[in-house]
Amino acid sequence: MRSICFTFLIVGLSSLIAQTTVNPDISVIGELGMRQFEGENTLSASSVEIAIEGYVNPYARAEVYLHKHLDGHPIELEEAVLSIERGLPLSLAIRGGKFRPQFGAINKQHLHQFPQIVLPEPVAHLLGDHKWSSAGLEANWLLPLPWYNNISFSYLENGISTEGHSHEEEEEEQHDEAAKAFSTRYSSFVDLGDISHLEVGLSYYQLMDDSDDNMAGLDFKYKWRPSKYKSITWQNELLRKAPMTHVEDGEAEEHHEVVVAYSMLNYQFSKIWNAGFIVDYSSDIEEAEYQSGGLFFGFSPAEESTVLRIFMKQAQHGDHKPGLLVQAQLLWSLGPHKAHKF
Amino acid sequence: MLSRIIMVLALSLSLHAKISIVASTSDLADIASQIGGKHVTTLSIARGSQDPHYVEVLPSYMIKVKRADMYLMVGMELDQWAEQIIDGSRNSDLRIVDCSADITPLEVPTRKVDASMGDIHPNGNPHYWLDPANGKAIAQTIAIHLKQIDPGHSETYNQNLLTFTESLNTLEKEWAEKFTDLRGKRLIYYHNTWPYFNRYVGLEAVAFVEPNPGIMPTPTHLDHLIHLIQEQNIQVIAMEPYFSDKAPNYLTRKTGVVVIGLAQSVDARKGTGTYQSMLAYNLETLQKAFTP
Repeated sequence: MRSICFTFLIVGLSSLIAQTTVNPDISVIGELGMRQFEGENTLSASSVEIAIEGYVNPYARAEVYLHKHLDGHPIELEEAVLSIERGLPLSLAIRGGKFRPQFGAINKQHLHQFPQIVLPEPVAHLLGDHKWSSAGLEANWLLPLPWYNNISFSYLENGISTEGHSHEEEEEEQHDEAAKAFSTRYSSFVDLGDISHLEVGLSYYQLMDDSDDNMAGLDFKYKWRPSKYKSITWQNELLRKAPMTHVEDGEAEEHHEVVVAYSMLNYQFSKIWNAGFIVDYSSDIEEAEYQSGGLFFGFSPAEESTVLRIFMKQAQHGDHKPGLLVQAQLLWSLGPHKAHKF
Repeated sequence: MLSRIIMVLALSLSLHAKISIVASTSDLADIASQIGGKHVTTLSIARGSQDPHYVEVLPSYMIKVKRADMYLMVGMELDQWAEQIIDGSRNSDLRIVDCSADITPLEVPTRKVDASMGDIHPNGNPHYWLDPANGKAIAQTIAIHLKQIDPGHSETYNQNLLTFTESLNTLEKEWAEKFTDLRGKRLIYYHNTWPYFNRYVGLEAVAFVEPNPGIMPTPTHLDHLIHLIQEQNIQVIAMEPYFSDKAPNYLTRKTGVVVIGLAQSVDARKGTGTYQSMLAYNLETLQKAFTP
């Protein structure tokens, strides 16, 4: 404990005296989107993401991600986080600020990293359209084992909110509720020979109030990558939200258990092409079962700086008539933070 | 009595503990292995046949670096991915060595660099290990750091450095006679990996299959190369193992130019298991390609 306090002191002091003569990495990722659903077409210059990253001092990095939807909404702060990754004892790493906590496989990923363009609907229903991000503190401990095993513990100012369009609206609601949250994740990574590996994760989330709102998750990812431009990635995730009773204005409201899952397979078969499919399921979206299947294609003519994606999805939701959704997206990046990593 | 046994065991362990070195590339790992000898263990993150510009950062690499004493970086912005591995390893005692420290870079841009130029390195071309003079400079840098970490074996490291340098000097004398015909030869490379090697051998890169570094060849560019090959009677295209041979083979079909595979790193091709054999392999392969 003393050495952790000492390291924080050193990091803090060196930040004060650090020379800021070196610029951080600044990147912009732009997105042009097109969507067709039930005969209606929309074309929109959907959003830009600004990423600012760099070392603050020899021990710590800072990362700031700003997101601007080009629809009149103000700029949203996605993440602003300081991470101490070097110099702490016991293989610890600590980060603090506003960030996406380590919960499940998909929550930490930015939208431009998805080959299927959008967040799977069942996951969006549980974590929110913009996924879960909150102010808080997170400690990561690399276990002293021969292969990679990491445990993280996060204490967050706000729990998961699935309401609201923007982060600001979500945050306002979260502040209204003032419910703090705790999450933990164990992840393990195993090399299966030189060209393939397996990642497994277990996650748990608990809202720290009387509602007993909690969620658990299991995820695994297998990747086979025999060469630079050939790979198969198979990612799967299962989340379970426990049944709970929410009391508002003296009235108790029962919420059922919700189970969601998705399975995504992405095949990169050349330097510029990739294709794959995703299937997802939710036991309860607005009190009806939901399932969908989709195909996606990606075209990257200039390594990772320009990506064109197409996604087609057929969904079945309760008694609603199944509809075909077609989405196209052109991503471009300026700077070192790339639009897409394989 | 117990404390004495523990002390003896600790002393014995410290005497036999090897310095663990992780390197970004197989070239640095091999040179470190030759300098460190039996007092070090080495491993490379990028395989020899892998493109060192793009290495997927895997958590298993972090575990390897977590146990290491020293990390050897290529530097000059080639292996920027190494930063993530080093951070993820949470190894507070790791010594990070930039092996480009004593290298005079070639092709340092003289104007502002941007993505319209492709994947240009702002600090100069980073493939510096392909000149044996730079191989000796890398060995010198590694020896300095090994002596600082493990002063007890300084003599061995000095001796190994001398052996390494002399082996290269001897080979260079041999190569200067054997491959003298390569001087002045002109060829096309797939990627701009070879300016340091060209300077050493006396070769001239006429063009590249990539229109810009890291950018795939376009039909227009391939047409341009066909004209160039025919007009200037270019005989050879040389490429690294990790690029697609589709475009070079297309040029062969159109012009009859010979496509050869060079080893940009140790273990990139069969028979290139050491730094010296990798350089020899490239010279031999080029000699064969240019021999009618």
